[in-house]
Amino acid sequence: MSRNVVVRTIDLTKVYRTFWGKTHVRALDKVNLEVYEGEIFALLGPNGSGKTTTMKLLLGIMFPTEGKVEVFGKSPRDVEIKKDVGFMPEESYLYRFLNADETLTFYANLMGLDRTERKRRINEVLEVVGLTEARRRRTREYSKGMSRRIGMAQVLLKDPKLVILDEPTIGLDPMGAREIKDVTLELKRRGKTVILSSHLLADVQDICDRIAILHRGNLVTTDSVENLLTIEDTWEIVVRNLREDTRRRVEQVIREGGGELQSIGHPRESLESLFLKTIKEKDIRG
Amino acid sequence: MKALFEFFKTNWAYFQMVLGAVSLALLTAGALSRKVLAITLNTMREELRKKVLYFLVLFAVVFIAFSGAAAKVQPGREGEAVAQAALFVVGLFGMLVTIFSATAVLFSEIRSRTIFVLFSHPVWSFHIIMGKFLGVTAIVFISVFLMGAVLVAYLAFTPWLALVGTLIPAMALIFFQLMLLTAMCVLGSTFLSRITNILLSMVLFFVGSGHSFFKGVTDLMKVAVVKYYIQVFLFLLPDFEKFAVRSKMFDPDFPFDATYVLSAMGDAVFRAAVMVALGIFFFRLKEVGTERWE
Repeated sequence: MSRNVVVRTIDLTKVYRTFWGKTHVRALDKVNLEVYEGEIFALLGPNGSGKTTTMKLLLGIMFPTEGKVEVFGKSPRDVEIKKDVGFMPEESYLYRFLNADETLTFYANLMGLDRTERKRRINEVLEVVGLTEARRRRTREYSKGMSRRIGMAQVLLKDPKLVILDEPTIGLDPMGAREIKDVTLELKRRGKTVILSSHLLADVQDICDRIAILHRGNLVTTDSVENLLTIEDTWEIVVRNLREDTRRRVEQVIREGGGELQSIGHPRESLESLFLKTIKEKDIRG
Repeated sequence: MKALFEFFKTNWAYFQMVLGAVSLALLTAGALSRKVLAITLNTMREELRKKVLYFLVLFAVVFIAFSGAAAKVQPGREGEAVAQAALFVVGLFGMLVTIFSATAVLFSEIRSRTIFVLFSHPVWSFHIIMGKFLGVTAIVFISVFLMGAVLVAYLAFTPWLALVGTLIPAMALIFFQLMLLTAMCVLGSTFLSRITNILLSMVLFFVGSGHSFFKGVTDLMKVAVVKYYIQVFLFLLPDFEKFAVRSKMFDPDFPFDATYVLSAMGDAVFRAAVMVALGIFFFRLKEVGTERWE
């Protein structure tokens, strides 16, 4: 079954030049990508790999030096497609003199929402991101997590088909990061396409369907998380309530079958999961 | 052809009024867009929170209040001297408010990177540039209005209150002069750095304010090619001098009438509309966010 392509880059190249026109940095070099409808796609790479440049090109903020970008089959400069694109930048770039209500009203006006619809949607998204109580506070007084949530609120307000998140969890505490990841998964559940960039690999592994790894502007690999992370010649069996003698027999069977037993032991909970569980229990106990 | 040229020359003032009216209609139509209005209000909010704006207006108010000192300079024409001094203060501080606000609006949007989120919404360069221009113009209007109100209040306690009738059109011309300067600064901010824009705007304002002087100097030039290019430059450069009537408005030979005021306003609106259109064009070609490449 062929899937709808939401974003396509063809030999996408971006060269930053000096004032005198000399090549300063080749930020992207002939990158070919396809992002399909309804998936969470991650751009991975170290600092300077070209992730943010790719995002700026997808938003039409910058122009390709060579090659092509298509978003919904059109140029990202096309204003029509911007109704269907939401963007949350790496840092929440907010108007510091506005409060949450005023910020969202400003963006709602840019989207052409009428008064009633605007009010309803603003109330709804403030509730989703948990900022209803802080809606009248100036955004310059917000913590990093709150700023990120208002950034997410302006994305949700638009209800776009494509959501672009630049380093969505960076600088957030585990709970804040979990909330952003949950909202991202909820977007996918609602059929949205999400492109995110990150260098926090655990976050990407948690929620993404496919990833592309960039390094020094080159696309190194792109595939599903499943395909990239599965180790074909190694097996993992998880068992509960295993008796000690049974375990020894299983080990014996593996050795007799020619298998190389690499490790055996109790699985560990992730630190994130332990932390979230502990905080939740503490909240319940009061 | 010659007859047509003569016709335009004779009726140039009316022609400017018509161009101004058409440009004003276009600008007003643009301002009615909800997106432009949203950006205009946001720009106004941002500017109104800047302390430097209040300091400038406050300084101007103090200087206006002390403009009575100018009365001693021209015995027998005290009222005129006070009016001229006050208009000079309004023009000077208005110019500072305009340049510092108009060169900052686009720059601050790029520096704070709020432009990235703005660009992810369905807005054209037209909405952004028009919104920024109208936002600063509104701030300039408020500043000039406040300074004018203080001047009128001050004159109300002096024997020169009758001068208000002459001062109102002079103040209106200052506002239109500053609106033109706003358009020039907004245009500059689409392709210049802020500091270059401030310096260039000040230089062009200074040259444009001495339009007749520079025109006279050019007429004396011997090298035809240089003379031609400077004449073209002076033709394109707004004649800011025509809006500063403080030294001429009490001269009985100076035609400071409705035709003069309306044609100057028409010229300002037309030129501002052209500059805004050029700003929209240049901004569409502008790449933002090229300073970092993660």
